[in-house]
Amino acid sequence: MDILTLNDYVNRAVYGEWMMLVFILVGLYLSLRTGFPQLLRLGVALRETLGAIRERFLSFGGQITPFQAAMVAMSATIGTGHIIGMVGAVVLGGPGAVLWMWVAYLVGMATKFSEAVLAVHFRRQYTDGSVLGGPMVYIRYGLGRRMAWLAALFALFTAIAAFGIGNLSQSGAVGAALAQEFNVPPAVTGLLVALLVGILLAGGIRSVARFAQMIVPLKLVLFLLAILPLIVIHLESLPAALALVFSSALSFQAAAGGAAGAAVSLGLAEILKAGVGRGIFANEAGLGSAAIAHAQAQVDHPVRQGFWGLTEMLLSLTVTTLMALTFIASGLWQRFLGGDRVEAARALFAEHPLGVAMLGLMLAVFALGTMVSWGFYGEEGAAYLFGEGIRWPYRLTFVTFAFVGPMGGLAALTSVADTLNGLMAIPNLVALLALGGLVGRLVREFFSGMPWQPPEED
Amino acid sequence: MLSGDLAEFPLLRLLETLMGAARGGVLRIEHPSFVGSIYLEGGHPVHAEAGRLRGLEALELLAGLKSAPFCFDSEQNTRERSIEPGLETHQLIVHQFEAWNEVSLPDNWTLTLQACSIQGPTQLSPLEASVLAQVQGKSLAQALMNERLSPLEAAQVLSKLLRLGLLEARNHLVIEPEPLVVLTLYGGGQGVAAIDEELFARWQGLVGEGFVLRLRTKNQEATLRPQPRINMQGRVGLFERDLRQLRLSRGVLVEVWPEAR
Repeated sequence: MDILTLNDYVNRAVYGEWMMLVFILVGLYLSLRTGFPQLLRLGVALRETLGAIRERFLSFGGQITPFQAAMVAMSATIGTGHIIGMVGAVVLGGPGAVLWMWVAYLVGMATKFSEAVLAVHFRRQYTDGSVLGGPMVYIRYGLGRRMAWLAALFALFTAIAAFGIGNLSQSGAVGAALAQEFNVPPAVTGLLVALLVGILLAGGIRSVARFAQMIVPLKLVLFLLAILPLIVIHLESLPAALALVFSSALSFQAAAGGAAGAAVSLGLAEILKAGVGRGIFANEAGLGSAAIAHAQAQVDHPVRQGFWGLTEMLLSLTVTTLMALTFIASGLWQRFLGGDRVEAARALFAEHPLGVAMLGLMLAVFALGTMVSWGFYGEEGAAYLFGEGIRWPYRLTFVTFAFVGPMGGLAALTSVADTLNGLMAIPNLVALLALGGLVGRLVREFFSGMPWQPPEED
Repeated sequence: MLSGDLAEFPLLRLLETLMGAARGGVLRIEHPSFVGSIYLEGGHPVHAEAGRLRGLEALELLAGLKSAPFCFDSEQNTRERSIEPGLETHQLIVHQFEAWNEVSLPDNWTLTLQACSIQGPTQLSPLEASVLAQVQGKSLAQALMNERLSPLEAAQVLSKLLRLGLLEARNHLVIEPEPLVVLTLYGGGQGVAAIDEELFARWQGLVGEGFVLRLRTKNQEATLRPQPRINMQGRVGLFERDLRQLRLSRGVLVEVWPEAR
């Protein structure tokens, strides 16, 4: 068995049905341990985050504000998967996939909440004010010395996966979008992207955070500019689209339709897989990546940062839902059922007053934001494994890949990195299961007004 | 020149040492609120000054000091005579020191006295009532230099008033209010203000242990118990119930400063 065959095998496993089931079960377990914060504490979460948005520049001291940390995480999460990936889920699983995506999001909210809580609780703070945190740190210090290998494994997966999901895929998407819609040569795109990413990563977390707090609102504004005209165009069909989400959640049959123009029949398994898959992988809940960003927030209590995790999920859910409903309302999903998701998205945005260029611009900005945050994630993983000295070599390598990405190639590396991205979830989910009780205790303490006691450093 | 602090060399021991050595000169005591001087000849006090007090009254006030820097200068003397040297005077001085030991007053005489509201029935003599009326806003040192009472008598009255809770001795330090942004604390707590642990330590160093926090909003003030918490820079955490009572909400800027309890 060669390495690529092995990679394909592992890839199917980590993104397969069984792994999805594990994600859901861990999410349910964490919901129970934390008292369903996504339902019962949603009001508090919104008051603590969006309700306190005017305090976004107010730090609790330290390097970056809780808002900035959430923006770094959101900048990575809200990427091309929210547009193309969401269209892809409907194309694969029909309108009913959206319902299962919602369910996965709902469960995943507790996962992301717990990740943020643990990331702050176990983070290491150094005398110069810098912070190292994320799943590798909460695995190491939460599960103890014996599980240090698992922490190292997570860090290794993150450091390498960043070159795929966080670099080649993204810079490739930027390159393709700009070449297709604006005829920008890939080499020029590569140079510009590499330069921008290099400058931002060189400035460390503060620079990444400043960029994120600018790019995330820009992403949301661009998304609204892109989606609102399409919503207006298909406004009348929206209620029917919503009804279709519920009516086709268990099974779906189309007499004649789909990309091949033949009768299409989708069973529950296919609908579930498409919907749950999107609901899990679009928001990165369970992968542990966002926890690396949340760990950086200087906050008085880990649970307060956990609320940003919930809000992050809500915003992500809003974007994917609007995208999916608009696509369903357009009726294009029937034509593209089982077909090409990129073509389906292009067909949808062809109806936009600014044309497909709007999609290109949006994808380019989305991908760029994801790239910078993932560069930081990868660097943190590498720094955990090899120490501070690795930061500059890692940054330079990351920038080199960012330059190469738009020109294509390196498919094998992208594929391996994609598998490692999926593998990140395993150590993280193990830690979440083991530390779920602790998250529950922290939540109880927070809501009884007790101050946070960071764990003793060993 | 002999110098030190009364905290290390109590005044009585110091005087007895100088008396034993039959020294002449002036023992100068520099309290933050007043300067005291005891002139000696052949080891015996012949004149004393403390603020506006002279003679044995000045000596009586100085006998109550638990700490203050002092220095003895054998080169200086005075022609003034306000104390009769002799064994009787020495016995009187010893008696003054013993009497001070039975008085319970704060060691820090720079504290400001503030009258408190009377809770329940309290019996005060006319003298005590008049002292209570006079000392409001004065430092403890000023209150001890009462025109109608000797320092020891004043100390005994003040000690009783403090014990009864009719007077409070508060630190008079001028501390600039800190502008802090309100943060919500959840749970059933009340009357607590959580501040950053570094700010807590700084204020504790200035005001002393057991201080309270005063919080000023646009239209009212409140007193709260401070609680140190990590990572609260620029914030003050208040429980939901207090937020409702003070008509505050998260993100509002308030002024907070410490006060001695």
